[in-house]
Amino acid sequence: MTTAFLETTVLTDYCLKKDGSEKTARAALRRFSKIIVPQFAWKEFKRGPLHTYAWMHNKLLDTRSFTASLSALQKISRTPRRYFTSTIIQSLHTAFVNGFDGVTIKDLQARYGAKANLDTLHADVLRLELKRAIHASWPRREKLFDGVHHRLSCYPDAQLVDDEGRIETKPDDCPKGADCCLKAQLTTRRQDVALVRARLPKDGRPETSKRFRVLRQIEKHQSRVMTPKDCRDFGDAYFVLFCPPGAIILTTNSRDIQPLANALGVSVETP
Amino acid sequence: MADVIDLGKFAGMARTASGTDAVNVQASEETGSWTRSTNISGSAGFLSAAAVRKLDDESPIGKMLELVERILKRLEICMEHLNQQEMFSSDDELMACKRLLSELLMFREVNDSVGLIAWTAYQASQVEAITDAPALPEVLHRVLTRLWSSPFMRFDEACLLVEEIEGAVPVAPASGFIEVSEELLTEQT
Repeated sequence: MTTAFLETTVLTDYCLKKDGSEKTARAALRRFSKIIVPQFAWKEFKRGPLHTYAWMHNKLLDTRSFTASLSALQKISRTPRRYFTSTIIQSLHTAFVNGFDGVTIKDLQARYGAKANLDTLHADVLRLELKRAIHASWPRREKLFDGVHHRLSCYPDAQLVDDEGRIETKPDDCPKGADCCLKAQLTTRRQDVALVRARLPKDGRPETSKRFRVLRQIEKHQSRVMTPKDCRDFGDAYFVLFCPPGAIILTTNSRDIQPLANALGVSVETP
Repeated sequence: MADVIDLGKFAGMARTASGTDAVNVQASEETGSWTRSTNISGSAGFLSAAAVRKLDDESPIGKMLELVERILKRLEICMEHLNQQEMFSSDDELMACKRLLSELLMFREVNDSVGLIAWTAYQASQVEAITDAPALPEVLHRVLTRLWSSPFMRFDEACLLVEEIEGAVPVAPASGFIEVSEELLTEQT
């Protein structure tokens, strides 16, 4: 019997994507007879990908304009990519418009006025698809793959809230001041923590530096509180340190996870 | 309690802060020319789709139900032709349905369930020819019948219904979905 220990990236592909990655994830999962999704993966999923989906949903609801919403995304992105120049935004909208028969749209605009505005319509259908993806993931976590495993006692698992159409994802992290429930388990495994820390790449990335700091703190200063931020920085190391015996970590982020997994002899696969 | 409409929503009345409906109306016996099977709830405060339409067929919900009724009739003709292997006639009816489905999108403000079903049904109807998706008319008929009888269904139910449509024919996401998704998810790494 082969068991997959699902990491957040594959969970995200499976739940949210529609670019073919979801099919790849589905096919990969079929290779395993058992799939374990730890609550840590759901926690990362809600705070990250699900939150940004909800943000986009709420922006589309707020502006009721495809072009204005994408323009907002372009401004807010820390690393704007090729997709969101004005020209590309317009071409995406043109592709949408071309999906309608010209005569039909003119007729609908004459009869329904603003409701047939194609920028508004485009925003609405994109919002509905995002809402569907959100509804198909988070609310189903208790049933998907036999439910949530390795629950975190300090994490407030909460439903999403529909606030007059807006999707609210809060709370999405442990309460401020909480001492992470994982710390007690980790302090009994200081040798493993040290092995993982030693395998962190020296790549100068802020993410790696933060992980190094947290692992060293767990290893050498057990009395210190492991805050919600520390838990977030712990990140990839969780999947290596808490992978059940014999299970295989399934991730698209093997670049970061593989070196850590090698330290403890844990297997890693990509979809 | 299936196939009923919360009259408070139909009447456009605001919900009270406590979440209860602003109006409650006892459903009465239904008579008249409405031909589809209907249900009258035994509970006060709810009316069937048919009864609501009879009360006010000029309201958005009344107009939407009338449009869904027209689409269902055309789908029935489409299925008849399909059963008789009359492919040109069957395809012609599906094209007519496509136009009506684009009109159904104008009622997406009724609620998100209506919007999602209308959009997915419209996308699905864009097949090149009916031979590409011979199961589609029947699936659309089943889904739209459900929408007709329960237009205020929960969004989760609408999600399951559109999965049925996608089972009959692959449905492409809205233009821009993949690009937006990539941008949103890349932000996380």
